[in-house]
Amino acid sequence: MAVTSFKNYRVPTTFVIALIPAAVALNVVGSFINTTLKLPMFLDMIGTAVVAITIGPWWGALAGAMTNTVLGFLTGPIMLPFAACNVIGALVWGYGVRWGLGKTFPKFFVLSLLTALFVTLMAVPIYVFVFGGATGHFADIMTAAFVGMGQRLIVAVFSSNIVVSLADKIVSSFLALAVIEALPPALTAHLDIVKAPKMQLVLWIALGTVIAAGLAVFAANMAAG
Amino acid sequence: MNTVLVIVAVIVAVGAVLYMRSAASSGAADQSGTVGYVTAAAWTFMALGVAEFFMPWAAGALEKEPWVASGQFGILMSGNYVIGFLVFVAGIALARTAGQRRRSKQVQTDSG
Repeated sequence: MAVTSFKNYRVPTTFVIALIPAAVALNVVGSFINTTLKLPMFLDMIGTAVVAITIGPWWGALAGAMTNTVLGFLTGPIMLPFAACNVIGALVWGYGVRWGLGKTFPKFFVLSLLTALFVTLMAVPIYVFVFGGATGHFADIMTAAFVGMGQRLIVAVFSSNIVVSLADKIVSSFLALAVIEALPPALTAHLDIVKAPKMQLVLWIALGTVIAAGLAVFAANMAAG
Repeated sequence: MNTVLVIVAVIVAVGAVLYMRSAASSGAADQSGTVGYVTAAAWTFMALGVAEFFMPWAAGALEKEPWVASGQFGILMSGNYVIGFLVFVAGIALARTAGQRRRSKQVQTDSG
């Protein structure tokens, strides 16, 4: 497949106008599911991943910034400073795929881990300096447990956030891959990303979900213990 | 979160995907104009600017939450720092793009 450089790739305006609101809506729905089920994740970056991978990192960044601004009004202003995390996640996903980290499933898995790491590195200063270490999320319980063990606040926030973020980004990456499969081929033809038979894709999605669920259970046990 | 808004979001998402599929199959997408990633970066700047507009409101609202340890000034300054960092990163990306475009134009001129 001939892969167009993302610097030269120009996306039809029609797709941008349709895909960005769809991504923001997907992020809002994911966040709602997460809040309702009280999952130890965020699920507010699935749409961001879809846009960043398909039409480019900076379009993903736009979807991310718009998501957190919208969520800031719907759920409260806590989400507003975390726009930075959504933007960073979009840049890592978008540039990662364009630098070859989407060619195989193992590479794509590594990309989701990298995204989790970079998002956590962005989130930790926000947690510590903007909010003083807590935002009312599930991860706060873990943070309190780590602080109780004698860790410094910044280390405790990093430790709790990386576990939650890993679970979240693995699920988001593989769900995004499933969504990308459903998009029109005209939108994804330029991408050098894994194309697998449906069953294999389902297998990898299931594997990613199981690993993420395992991490979530580990996080829950850490918080309880 | 308001359930009605979430239902609207689902309808928007599904409608947008169906619209894209229809636009792709009918050829309407090929006839529309195109945009590059510099435009995307510019729109991201604007979205961050909009977020920045609401930071004073957010800082005021957040300070009232019982579990927030920082004061209003701290929240506002930290929020500005975060968004400023992103604008700085986007600025570097755009500056690099401008340099690459200049070089590629130079190469085209030299070879032409």
